[in-house]
Amino acid sequence: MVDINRYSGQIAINDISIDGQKRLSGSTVAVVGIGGNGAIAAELFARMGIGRIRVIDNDSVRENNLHRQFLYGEDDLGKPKVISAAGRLKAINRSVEVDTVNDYLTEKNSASLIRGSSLVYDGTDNFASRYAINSACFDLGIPFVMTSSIQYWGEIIPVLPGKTACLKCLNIPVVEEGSCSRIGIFPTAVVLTAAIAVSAAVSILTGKLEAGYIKIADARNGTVETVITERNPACPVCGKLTYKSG
Amino acid sequence: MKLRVRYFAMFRDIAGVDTLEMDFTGRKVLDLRKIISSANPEFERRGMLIAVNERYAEDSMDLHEGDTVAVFPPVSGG
Repeated sequence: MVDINRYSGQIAINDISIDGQKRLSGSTVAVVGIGGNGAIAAELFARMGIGRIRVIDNDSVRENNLHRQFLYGEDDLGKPKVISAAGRLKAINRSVEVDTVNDYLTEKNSASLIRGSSLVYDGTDNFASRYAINSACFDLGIPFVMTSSIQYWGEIIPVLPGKTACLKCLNIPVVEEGSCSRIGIFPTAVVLTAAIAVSAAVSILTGKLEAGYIKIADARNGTVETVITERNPACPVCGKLTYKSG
Repeated sequence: MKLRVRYFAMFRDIAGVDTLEMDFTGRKVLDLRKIISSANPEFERRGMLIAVNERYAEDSMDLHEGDTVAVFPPVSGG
């Protein structure tokens, strides 16, 4: 049952309408990593009425998170992020079911943590986790949106298994530059990145994503560049996979 | 051939330029990658992704007169 009054603002948009809102309300989104990008995304998912949100993280709230991680405040310092996040998400929208997983996603546990999701929002901060999500999502046929941001910049890659290019298709190199606190991250970068990525997630959940791409967001200059991607038939992860509409 | 090369994200800061016009004597994306890496050794260390005319490009792709090439890093943080 869709709460028409609560979501009237987005139902009024043709792309969403009642049908799209029903899809959102019937969806489960796993947010892996609820730091900069993931925390904003989780809040947006709760506000727009995603039916169930699973927050996955093993970190605690630290003072140097607060300038960019929107779900947390000074009262949350030292607490597990998933606990603080769940409380905030329920306070925003009590009709949303929130599952908490106080654990890091690894190659070993990735499938069990994301199983049953309609979509995975990758808010992690390293390529080992991203490739683990990439593989698990292809094994389980779950679409996902990869996000990353550092300093003023962000990148967003939505992936529909068997339909659009995956991270392996693109052969994205594993480059670990260090933490956001070391390299630097400006809060507008995570806001811009999450806004674009959540829009991509909604496109997937409402069945409207047609082609793969990389978006490169520049929060300093206020620009977003788009690079169209295509699947690689020789990809070891998805080369032989055929897309099945959900 | 003449190419238009654009740098995105932190590559703009590292190269100190957004866009440049280049007289390119090679043939493929790989040839261009080597030229750009030579001028900006930091790029390969950070990982260098390339798009041609707004499409993701592999090193084996041929380049043509007037192509616009985008060069950008994989962003690693979260």
